Amino acid sequence: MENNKKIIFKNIYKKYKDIFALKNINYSINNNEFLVIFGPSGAGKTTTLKIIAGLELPTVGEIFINNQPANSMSTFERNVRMTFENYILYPHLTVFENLASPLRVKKISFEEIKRRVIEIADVLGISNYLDRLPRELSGGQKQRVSLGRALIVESDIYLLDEPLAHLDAKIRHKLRAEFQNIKSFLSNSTVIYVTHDYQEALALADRICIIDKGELIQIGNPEEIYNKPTNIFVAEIIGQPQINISKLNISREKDNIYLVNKDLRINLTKKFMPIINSYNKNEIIFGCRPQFWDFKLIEPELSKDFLKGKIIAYEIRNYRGIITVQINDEVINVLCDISREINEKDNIWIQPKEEEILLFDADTNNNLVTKNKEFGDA
Amino acid sequence: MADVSIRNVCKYYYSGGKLINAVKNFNLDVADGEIVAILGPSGCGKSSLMRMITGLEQITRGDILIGGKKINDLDSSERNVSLAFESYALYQHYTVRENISFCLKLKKLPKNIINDKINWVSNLLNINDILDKKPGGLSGGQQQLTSLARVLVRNPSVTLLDEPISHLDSRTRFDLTMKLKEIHEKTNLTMIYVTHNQEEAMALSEKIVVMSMGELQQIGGRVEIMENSINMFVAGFIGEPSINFISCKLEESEKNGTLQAISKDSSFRIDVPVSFIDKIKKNNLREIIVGIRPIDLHYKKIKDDIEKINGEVLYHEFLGEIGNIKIQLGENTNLVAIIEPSYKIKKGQKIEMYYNPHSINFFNPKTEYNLKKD
Repeated sequence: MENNKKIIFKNIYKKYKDIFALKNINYSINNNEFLVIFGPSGAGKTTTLKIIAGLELPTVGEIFINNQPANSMSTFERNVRMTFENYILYPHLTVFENLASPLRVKKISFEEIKRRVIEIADVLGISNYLDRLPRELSGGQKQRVSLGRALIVESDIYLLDEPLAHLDAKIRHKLRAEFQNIKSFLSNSTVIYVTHDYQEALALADRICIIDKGELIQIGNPEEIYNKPTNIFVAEIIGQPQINISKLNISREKDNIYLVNKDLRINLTKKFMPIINSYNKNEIIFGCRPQFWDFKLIEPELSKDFLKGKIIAYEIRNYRGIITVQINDEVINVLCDISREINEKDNIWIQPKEEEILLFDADTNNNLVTKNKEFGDA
Repeated sequence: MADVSIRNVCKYYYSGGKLINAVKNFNLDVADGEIVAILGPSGCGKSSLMRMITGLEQITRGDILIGGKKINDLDSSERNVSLAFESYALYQHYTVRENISFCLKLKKLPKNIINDKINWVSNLLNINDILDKKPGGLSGGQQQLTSLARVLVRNPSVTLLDEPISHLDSRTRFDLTMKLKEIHEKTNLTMIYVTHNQEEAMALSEKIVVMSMGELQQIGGRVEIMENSINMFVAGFIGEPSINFISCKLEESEKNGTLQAISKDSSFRIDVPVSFIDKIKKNNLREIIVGIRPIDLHYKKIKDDIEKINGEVLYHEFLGEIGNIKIQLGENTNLVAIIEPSYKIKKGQKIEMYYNPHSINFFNPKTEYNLKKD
C-alpha cells in the first residue's frame, strides 16, 4: 500500500435497517489532505465521518487508517477529533475555560494550556472574547469557540461536520474566508470537512468527494469538479444559477453538426466531431453554465449563430446580474456583469461559448466531453 | 389589495426591567401591488414592524394605514393582512389540501369556491402533485410553498413574508425567490418581504428598505443602495463579499488645494475629489474612511481605471462563478477583490489591480455618513 494514504475505504457498505447509507465505497484520503465531502442531505456524509471516527462500524468492508486495518480500533486509538453541527459549550465557563477544558483532562501544564488557548483564539479571531461567557457571544462567535474546542487538541485527523451551518449568510461567508487561516493552521493534519454548501466545498477543498444516496459519484479538485462534472447530477448540484441543460437531437448538415429541438439550434464545431462520431444515438444532452454565454442586446451581424430570445427576468445577486432568457418553451439563465442597459421584456441574442459546452449521454447522463483545459494550482 | 402607509411608528416594550425602543420613528409607503424588501440584521426591529402591521403587537406611537384607512385599533381579523413565518406552522395530521382549505372552511365558503381556489393556487405554485401528502413527508421548500398557498388563498390586502425561506438550503432558496417573484408578477399582490439576507432582498425586489437598530437607514433601488450607500452600515451590509473600508489620514498634497487620503501604513493613497473639500474643511475632518467594493477592483484594466494598487495575495477562493482574493497592501491594509474564476492566482504572488476613482465612496468617520449624502 502507498505511504501517503491516511485513510482507505475498501468496499464499505453501511446498512441501517433496510436502507443502505453507504454503498460500495472505495477511495482513499491522502496524508495532510483537506478533503470536503459534499452531497445533498441523506447522502451519507455524516455516516462517513462516523465510520472514520469509529462511532459506527461498516456493515461490510474495511477501513484502513495509517495503513492499519482499523475496523476493530477504538476511537481513542484512531487519534481523531470530531466536531458536530450544533455547538456545544459549557454555559457557565468563559471562552478561555471552554477552550482549555479538552486539554485539562490530558494533564497538560498550565503554561502550555495558556499558550495553546491563545494560539487557537488568534487563528479563530476570538482573542478579544476570552473572558466572556457563551451567552455574551453571537452565533458566529459561539461557532468559532466550538470549533476551537475541537482543534485545540493536537490530532492526526480532524472531522468537521458542517461547522458553518446554521449561521447567517453574512457571517457564514466571512467565516468561510477566515477558514483559509484555519486551513493553514491544520496543514499538518488530515481534515475531512462535510458540507452541503457547494461554495464552501469549492473554496476550501484540496479535493472534493461528491456522494449521493450512499454512492461515490466523483472525486477531484475543485476546478475539475466544476468544469468537468462526471455526470448531470454533479453539473447540477454545483453552481448557481443551475447549469442550463437541454435534451437535443443531433442533426448533420453538410460538414456541420447542429444540436436542435423546436426552439434551440446550436452549432458544434469540428472539435466535437470525434465525440459525435463515436456516439451513435440521435438524442444528446447539451449543458452550458450560465456564465459561459455571449450575449448581445442589439441584433448582431451574424445573427444566425445566435439564439434570439426575450428577457423575462433580470435579477441582481452579489454584484452579478442573472438574465432569464425565454426562447419559446426553453428558458436559459445567463450570468453577466451588472448593467443598467438590461431591461425586462427586451430582445436578446445569446450564444454558448464553444469551449465551455458540455455534452452528456442521453441515457446514462454521463459526461461525453473530456475538456483539454488547463487548470490552475490544483 | 391595497397600499400601506407607515407613519412615524414607534415600538417600545419592557424586557428585563429595561425599556427597549425596538422601532424608532419609522416611515414607509408601499404602493398598491408593489413588492418591497425590508432588509436588516437580526434584532433590527423588522419583525416587530411586521407584527404591528398584522396586529399581533400594539403600535406604541404613530399610525399604520392600509388602503388609506387607519388600522391601529382594528382587530387582526379585520385587517385582512396575512403573514407567513419562517416556521411553516402547518397542521401535521392534515394533508396539504386540508391545510390550505382550513381557513376557507372556517369562513364557511361554498365547496365549489374552495375547490376553485385550491386549483388556482396549486397551479400557481405548481404543487398539484403534493396536495394529498402530509407535511411530514415533504421537503422544507414544499412545506414553505404549502404555507404560502395558505396565505394566498385568503386573498389578502397585504401579504407579509417574514424570513420565509432563510433557513432552507441555498438551492431551494434560490428557486423559491424566483418563484415568489413570478407569483408577485401574476397576482399583483402588495407584498412586504422581510429578510436578513441581502442577496434575497436584491433578487426579489427593485425597492429595498434597509433597517438597523430600529431605524430606517435607506430606501432605494437595488443599484442605488449599492453604489450610493448612505452610510457605512448600509455600505457594509449590502454586497458579498463586504465592501473594503480603509481608515485614512488626510494630507494636503504639494499641488495646491488638493487633499490626499493616505492609509495609516501609507500603502494606499487616493486624491479626495475636489467637490468634498469644502465639506471636509467645514467638519474639520483630519481622517476619512475610504470604501472600495470588491467588484470595483479589476485584474484587467478597463476604461477609466486610472488608479492602481499593488500587493501580495493572502488567499484565493475559487467559488465556481467567481473567485475572491485577499490582497495585502501594507502592514495593516488588506483588500478583498472579486476576480474571474479562471485566472490562475496563487497565494503569495505579487498582484496589481486597477480601479476607477469615481467608484470609490468616502465616509465621515465621526458620523459614518457617506460624504455624498452628508
